[in-house]
Amino acid sequence: MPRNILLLIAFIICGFLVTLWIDQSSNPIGLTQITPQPTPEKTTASMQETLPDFQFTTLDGKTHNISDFHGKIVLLNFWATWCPPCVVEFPKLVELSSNHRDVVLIALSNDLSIAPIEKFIARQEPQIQKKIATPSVLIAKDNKGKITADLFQTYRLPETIIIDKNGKMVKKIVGDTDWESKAITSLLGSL
Amino acid sequence: MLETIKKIATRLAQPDILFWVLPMMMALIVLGTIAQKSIGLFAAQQEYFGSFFLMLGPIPIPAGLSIMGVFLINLLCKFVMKSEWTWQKSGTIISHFGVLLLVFGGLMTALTSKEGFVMIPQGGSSTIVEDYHARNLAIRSETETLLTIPHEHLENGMTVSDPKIPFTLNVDKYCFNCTITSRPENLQQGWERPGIFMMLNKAPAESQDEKNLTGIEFSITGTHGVDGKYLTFDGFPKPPTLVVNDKPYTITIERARRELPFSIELKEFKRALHPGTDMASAFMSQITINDKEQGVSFPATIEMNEPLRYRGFTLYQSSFDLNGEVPYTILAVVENKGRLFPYIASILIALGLIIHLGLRIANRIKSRTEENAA
Amino acid sequence: MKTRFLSLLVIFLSLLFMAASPLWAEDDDKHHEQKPFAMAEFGQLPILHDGRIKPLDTFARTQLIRFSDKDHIEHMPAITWLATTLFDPGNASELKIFRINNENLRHLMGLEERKKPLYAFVEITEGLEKTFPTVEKLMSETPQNISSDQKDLLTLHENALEYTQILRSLSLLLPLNVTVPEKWAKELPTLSTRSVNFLTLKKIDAGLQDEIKQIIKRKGQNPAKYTPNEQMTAVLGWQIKMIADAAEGNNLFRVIPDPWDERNTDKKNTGQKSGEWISPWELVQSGKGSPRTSEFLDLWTALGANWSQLDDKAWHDNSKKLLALGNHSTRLEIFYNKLQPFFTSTIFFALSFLLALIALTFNQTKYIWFLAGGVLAIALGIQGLGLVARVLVLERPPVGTLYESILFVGFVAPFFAALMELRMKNMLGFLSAGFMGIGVGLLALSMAGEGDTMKVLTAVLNTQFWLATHVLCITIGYGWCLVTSVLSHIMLLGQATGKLDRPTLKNLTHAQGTLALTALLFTATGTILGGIWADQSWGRFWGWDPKENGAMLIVLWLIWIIHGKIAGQFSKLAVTMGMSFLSVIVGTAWIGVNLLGIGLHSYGFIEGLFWGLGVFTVGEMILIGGLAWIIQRKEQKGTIPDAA
Repeated sequence: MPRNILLLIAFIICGFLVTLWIDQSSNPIGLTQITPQPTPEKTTASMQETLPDFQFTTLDGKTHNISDFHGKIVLLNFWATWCPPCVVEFPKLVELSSNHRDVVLIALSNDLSIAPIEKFIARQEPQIQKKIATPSVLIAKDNKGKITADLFQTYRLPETIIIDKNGKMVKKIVGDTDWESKAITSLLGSL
Repeated sequence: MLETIKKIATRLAQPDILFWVLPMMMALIVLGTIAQKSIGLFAAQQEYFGSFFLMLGPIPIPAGLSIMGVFLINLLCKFVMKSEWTWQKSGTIISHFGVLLLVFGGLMTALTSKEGFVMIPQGGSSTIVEDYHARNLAIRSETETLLTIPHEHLENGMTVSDPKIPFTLNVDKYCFNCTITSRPENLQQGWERPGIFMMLNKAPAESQDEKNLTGIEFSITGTHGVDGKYLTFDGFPKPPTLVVNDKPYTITIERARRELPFSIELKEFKRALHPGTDMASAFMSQITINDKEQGVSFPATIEMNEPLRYRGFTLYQSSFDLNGEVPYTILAVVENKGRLFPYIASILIALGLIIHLGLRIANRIKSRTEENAA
Repeated sequence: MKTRFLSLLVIFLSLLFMAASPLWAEDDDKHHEQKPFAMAEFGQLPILHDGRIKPLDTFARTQLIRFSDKDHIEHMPAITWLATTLFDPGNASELKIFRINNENLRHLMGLEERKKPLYAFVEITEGLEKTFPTVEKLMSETPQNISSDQKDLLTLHENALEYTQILRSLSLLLPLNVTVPEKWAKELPTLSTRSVNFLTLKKIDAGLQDEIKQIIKRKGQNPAKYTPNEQMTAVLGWQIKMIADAAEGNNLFRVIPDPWDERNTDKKNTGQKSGEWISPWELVQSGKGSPRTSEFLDLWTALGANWSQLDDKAWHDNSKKLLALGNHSTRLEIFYNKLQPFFTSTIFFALSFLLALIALTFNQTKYIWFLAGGVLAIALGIQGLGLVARVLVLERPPVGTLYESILFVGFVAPFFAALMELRMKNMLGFLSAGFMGIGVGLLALSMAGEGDTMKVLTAVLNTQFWLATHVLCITIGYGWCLVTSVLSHIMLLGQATGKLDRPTLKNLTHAQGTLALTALLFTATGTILGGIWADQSWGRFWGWDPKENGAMLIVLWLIWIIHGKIAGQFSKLAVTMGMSFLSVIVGTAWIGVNLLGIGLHSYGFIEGLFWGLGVFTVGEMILIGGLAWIIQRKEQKGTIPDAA
């Protein structure tokens, strides 16, 4: 009988003491990941889809393959002159591509004819026009939406796909965006 | 003397006590569970399981604590007086021992545990644990707390004055759970901000205790210039602050607070959703513990079902708030010295029952073979 | 929830209008005698629905059950119904799929009475429109103030809304019956007007709208002043806008993996089973398109064409291609759907029960014992297979919801009874096993009517470890309790009818004790494990939550009976009565507490279940009490010399 009392007291005291001992030690318990998880940078979230090859003809009549731009970062911009946000962000895209050495802007317009595009360019500031004339900016009319709608299923202009040097589509930006923002700069820098 | 104690203990060890206690316990559980539907979990817990007596209409009936007390005494006496260790009885005794430890653990938990929560904005840190239930009326001057009054003591018409405070506060209206409406124009006379536009109305208590919005309407007298009628309530971001003799006095209703010996910094709160739904599949807080006393600092991740235990505090992912500009995580903070006992007890109870069952089956087989032999 | 519903209702209004519009290429009636298409691959196509990726077959069944309480209509399997609804909405809306059981509601909707109360969408649209103001008002009511008639009305509206979502899911790629002015037609890639769909029209939409603006500027709002060509332009522009508006928020049919969600492409690093999937409309409306999604949509467009041209060979090829493109195997679930394991196993349980009963009535023979055992083994095998299939599909332990706990008990309880039989060899084990198989099986079947039973779990339940320990332990405990209870019932019955001889009774009494102890072992351990889980997840070992209390109630009941027996306060008959009553205690703790609708384990109030449980409790009381009374009278008369 006294044995049972002793047993009970011993267990209770032991249980209590062990708890106290654990509480006093400053080792955290339940740390499943002591090392912080490598949180993948949101901006570099990569999509593994590879860009399919396609052809486009720039306003000056030259035909290019998209694969010709392997090794460059391509901003594939779908736009049209009748789309106000497209028109607003257009100069910024031009600036961006001429400021970054490896960046090429390919702007595919969904206008029905070339005339409004040329008119639009003519209206731009002289320094933008100068930059448009450089090889880092290519402007083309997408014939009957074959690239925009049929291939890329883009229906909400503007949309811009950022393509890395290996031809992987890294990110799609739907609608206009702040092309001077930190996120964009760091994204382009990381590619 | 010892003989008498032994005699009493032996009587208290009788199984007939258990025989009557168990149905009462079952009835109480059924009643207490059904009551939760109407009065909420917290109130039902307090009333049915956390008290000694309970009024069922005009009749007092024993509640959780007294029933558990009798049960404990019965089991304790049985264990001490009538449990002679033999191989055949070992299973039963071990199980009983396990139950005893479980109940003692529960007792210890009831005596030592403290619960509360910390709310941390992403990028911010906190050391303050707020209580779930206890609310205080607090009067502060900047960071110095001059006076706190638990909400149970608040009542309509009471007067609060203190040598440390240069004014008298009269509680005009106290509501444990308030609704806020706008104050009609014809009743705005004499009111100061914020009471001039808002008024508090008594509302029936919510069944979830945490949801009760406690508040008071009060008038201030004895000052030059800031006398008037005010109001304040739990979680009000802009409680009234009176400037008397160039010193600011803030009057708030707040949850009772205590301080952690370390600070918790929230790096990031993440919520994963089942794709295509708005149903969460996981919550996760990435935090850093900064312990200046111990001179350590380390990162940790707290997830649903994966708490962090540190220096006697256990931190659980409890809730979150994504409505603000930055996400807030809400971590439950529990201190409990009795938490190991359920683990020991469950092992003992299961072990005892397994031994008992094993012996029973073994005996059965033995007696059968004997029967067959005969 | 409420606001979402309201916004959907607004769309719904425009949809009602669309249903009658002649935009759809209404071909002729040839689809009514559809030649059988190969649906196997089509049924396997993956769709993200209710948080998990499932085959279209499951989706079709779930939706059809939701509308009509059945997983097929007349001679048309669910998947064919779905294909018709997607690809031939005009004809599909004439299929009678809306079951309206409530007579008052039928009257309110102005519907004719039928032998089977099934109605087509076109039949109910008028009523829906008429009752819309009522529904709008009901939306702002608190749930307690809504009568059951009103609730049925709300459900019908919700169902109709969901239905129109499916009906419009592919409206962007089905051929349209529109006239395109010549000027614009030449801007389109294909000149064949047969294949003009919304997506092709979308290309000229901007220009078209621009032109309409200019027409209005020139000639004002009145179309009578327009030239025929201008009228055509205006009509086309309006039609495009109508289709797009009607499909706003159409995101039910998520059959395309979002190409921009890294969780879909990089499963290893993100540790996710899947990322977001998108519906065709969402793809267009939120700009998620990519070359890969165009492959998906091209194939879906092709399927649509194949369906309307009755080209079953091309249909089959294109379904296969689409399946390969989706790259997500759903075969196991298709197998599960086909097998209907829990229905099939219930039949086998019934069969084994009958065999055991026959054996007992006509004095058992060895053969029939083996036969009953064999049938029972098949039943258990199928039930087990169903459980395993669920584990594999859901990638978690078998029990996470109330329904799943019923399925699991439906396996373990008969299994334990069969084990018992192997020791006792008196047919009573098989009898109990068959009985419990039927009972629990029927309970499960009655609960499966809610649609897809494979559900994803909320965050707190989303833990493999605790689902595998606490939940299984307590559910196994329920199983043992049921076995104990059924055995005790048999003992009562046997004594009351005088069919049990004394050695058998002695045997059973001993088995009863062992069973009760085993039940106690599992329920007690399970309950404490539950407490430990609670301690791990929110720091409270015991919180007096209804489900915890329920589990504790079972444990206390068992302890009470066992101790009363040992200490002699209970007679043997009382013990057997108490053990029999365990069925009610378990029923209350297991299913009953959920009806309270509070606490962590609540699944909401289910009215049928509440009354069912009530009837069961009263029935058991009468049965057990009655049997005990008969036994006692027999004892007094001295028919049974030794008290049970």
